[in-house]
This record gives sequence, C-alpha cells and structure tokens, in this order.
Amino acid sequence: MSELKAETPVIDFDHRDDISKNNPYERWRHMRAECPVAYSESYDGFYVISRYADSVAGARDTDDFSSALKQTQIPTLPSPPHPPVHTDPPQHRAYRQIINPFFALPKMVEYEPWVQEIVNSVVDPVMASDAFDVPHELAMPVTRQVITRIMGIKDVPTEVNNWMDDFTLLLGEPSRAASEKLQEFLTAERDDRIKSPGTDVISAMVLAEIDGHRIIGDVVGMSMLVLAGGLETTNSAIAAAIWYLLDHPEDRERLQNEPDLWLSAMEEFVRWSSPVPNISRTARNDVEVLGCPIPAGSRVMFQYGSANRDPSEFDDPDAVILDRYPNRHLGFGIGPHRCAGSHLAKLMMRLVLRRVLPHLDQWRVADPAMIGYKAAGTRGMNKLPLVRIPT
Amino acid sequence: MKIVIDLELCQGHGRCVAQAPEVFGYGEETSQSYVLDGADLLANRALIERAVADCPEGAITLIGDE
Repeated sequence: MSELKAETPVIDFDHRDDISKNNPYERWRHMRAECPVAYSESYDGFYVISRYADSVAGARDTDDFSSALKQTQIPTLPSPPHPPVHTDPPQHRAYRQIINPFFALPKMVEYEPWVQEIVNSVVDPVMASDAFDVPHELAMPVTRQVITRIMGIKDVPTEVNNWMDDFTLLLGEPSRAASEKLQEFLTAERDDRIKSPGTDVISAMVLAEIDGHRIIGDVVGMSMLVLAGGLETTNSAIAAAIWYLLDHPEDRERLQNEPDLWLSAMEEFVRWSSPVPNISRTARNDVEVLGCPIPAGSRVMFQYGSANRDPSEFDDPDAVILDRYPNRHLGFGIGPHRCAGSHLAKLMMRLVLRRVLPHLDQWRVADPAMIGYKAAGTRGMNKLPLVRIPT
Repeated sequence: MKIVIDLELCQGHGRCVAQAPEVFGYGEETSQSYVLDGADLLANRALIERAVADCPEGAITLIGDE
C-alpha cells in the first residue's frame, strides 16, 4: 500500500531553465529520491513525475492521462493538434496506421542506400575540413534531408530548423510566429499533394480516410509532428554520441571491432542522451500517483529523461554501457505513443556514426565552455564545435 | 516451446528482432513483431530469453521447455 502523502511537495522547477539545459542530472536524482511526485507553479502549475515505474504506468494509462485534452507540452504550444501524438485511443490507432508504414522496421532496408548517400554527402566534406559544429553542420543537414525526402518535400528552406526551434523553445509571440511559418510552409506542401498525390507520407495523409472520411483538416498538424520528430530529436542523439566517443577511445575501438555491438549501442546513446526528456499529459480523471492526489484537469509531466537514469531500473545509470542489457529505456517513449520514427532514428545514428568513427581520433572539442544546450520538450546540444588536432 | 506475443502490449519497439533476428520478424503492415515461420526456438532459446527481458512493454512470453 503506498504511503499516504498529506501534501504533494511544491518545488521550484522549470524544464526550460538553465539547469534543464546544461546539467539536469543532479536535480533529477534529487527529485526521484525526495519528491518523485511534485508540484511546480511554473506555467500555470503542473505535477511532475520523475521515476521510471511511475512514468511507464502513466504512459500506459491513456484513460487517466490524456494526450488530447491539452496536447503534450507544458505550456501547450501554439498550434493546431498534431495527430496522432495529440490523440487518445481509440482515435489514436487510425492516425498511427497512416504514418506507421513509412517508418516500419523493414522499410529501413529500402531506405538505407539513399540515407547512406545523404550521410556521405554531408559527412565527407565535413571530415575533410578543419573545424565544424556537430549539430549544425553534421547532424541537421542529414536529418533534414532524410525526413523531407520521406515527406516528399522538394525544396526545404534551411530556416525550417530555426522555425522549429523558435516554435518549440520560445514562448509567446515568437513561438506563435514560428508556428505560423511552419503551418504556411506545410499547407503549401499539403495543397501540392492534393493536386498531385505521390507516394510520400504527406500524400498518404491527404489520401487517408478515417471512418470513410478524408482528414484534410488534420494534415498540416500531422505534418508538423513528422517534421518535428525528424528534425529535432535525432540531432541530439547524434551530437551526444559523438561528444561521448571523442572522450572514450576504448569505446570507439569496441565499435570498430564489434559489428554486433551497434544495435545495442544506438539504444544506449538514446537512453543516455534522452532527446525527449519529458512529455506531458492532462489528467482526465482524479488520479493518484504514489499516494499524491492529482485532480482532474491537472497538467502532468513525466520526466522520461530522469526515468532513463533511475537506478531502480538501470544499473550504473549514468554510464554509457554499449552492450547494456536489458535496456528497456524510455528514450522512444513507451505504450501506444512509442516513437513511430524510432527505427529511422537509429538508422541515421548508425550510418552517421559509422562514417565519422574512423576519423574521430583526429578531432577534439574546440572549447568545452562553448558547448551549448537547448531544452524544453526536447533537449540537446545546439553548439558542439570541434577542431582538427594538429599533426 | 512456444512464444506468445501479446498484441495489445506490442508497440513495435523491435528489440526482439534485434536480440533474436532468426526468431522474430516485424510486420510492415502491422508495425508489430511476430514469430518467424520455422524459427528454431530451441537453438535460439538464450536469445529468445534476452528478447523477453529486453521488451520494454513486457509483451513476450516464452512457454514450455522443449
């Protein structure tokens, strides 16, 4: 029987603050130990849950914890809903079935040759240079080209990364303005596919029927989700993995010599870097977690990044263990909203890392003080400048 | 020996395919795992047990001894 709490601890907590950006781990440790369910008054108030077991239970309980009521970010971002992430079962399944086929594991065999071409075209010139920034020059051009190809987008402005950053990381008017730009861009793409449908995922959304009706009104929102998933998160995992490997020649050598290590290594880099450190819900009903009452209508944040460092689930949780097993991490979420793009993310990580790995001993971080992070609903490096080690 | 995948729980993480590729396939239409026809369960028993333990959803059960 869970310990009955008279009052949920109130804490000063903001998932967008400098601690969240630069070093969230100590605070997560404290929260897991002292206030695994807490209440923050930021952003009109929300409950925040930090342990693995409660995060898993919450993600699976789509009845008590809704993704539809106020979407899945705190604060709710200024945007039309993005099915399927902003839907609950049973509607959720029909939307997932539209996008799932584009990201199913067997599809990766078909995608690998052209993803490899994109990787080579980005990585090789960078490896031949003398200095570069990992997120901007290595990761973003790969992820942007891969996701826009799957979306059938022919001309993607490079500002799309800035719009996505502003939309997800800023608040108020700048976030709203960026959201408008993304919606305008994706509306034009949608309208193009309505005129001439193709075989890309936006065309599939345009042609889809749910209960016998087209869902044209959902296409821009769904496209924003696919674009965000493709642009944001994989960059963080790639940058974190490169940063780690620069400092760990023994693990570089393991990856070079043990081909069977790669699948588990990619999972481990996702767990360790947790590009989605938190995801939020709205309590549909009065609910209780660890004896703390959460009233219906409350916003509730699950800190998957903290869950991924929870020692009750992971031995030596802060270490990168390339062959970690078991590794039931929440880096791609869990339950019905498990990241649809997880296999594509791991494919991109694997191909980029495999291409840069032989060169990493020739590079170093230019200045650790210059490393920068961004954090809100996603978290990752936005600055990781490397320089070639002079020979 | 028999493998049961609970399709209410399977969310398509694909860890089972990574642990035991001779045993588990992934449905392109369903985005869920399935047991490959003719998979040699006995020979792959240790890998199947790893797949069971590594499934974040706890969707896989291995039943029986032979």
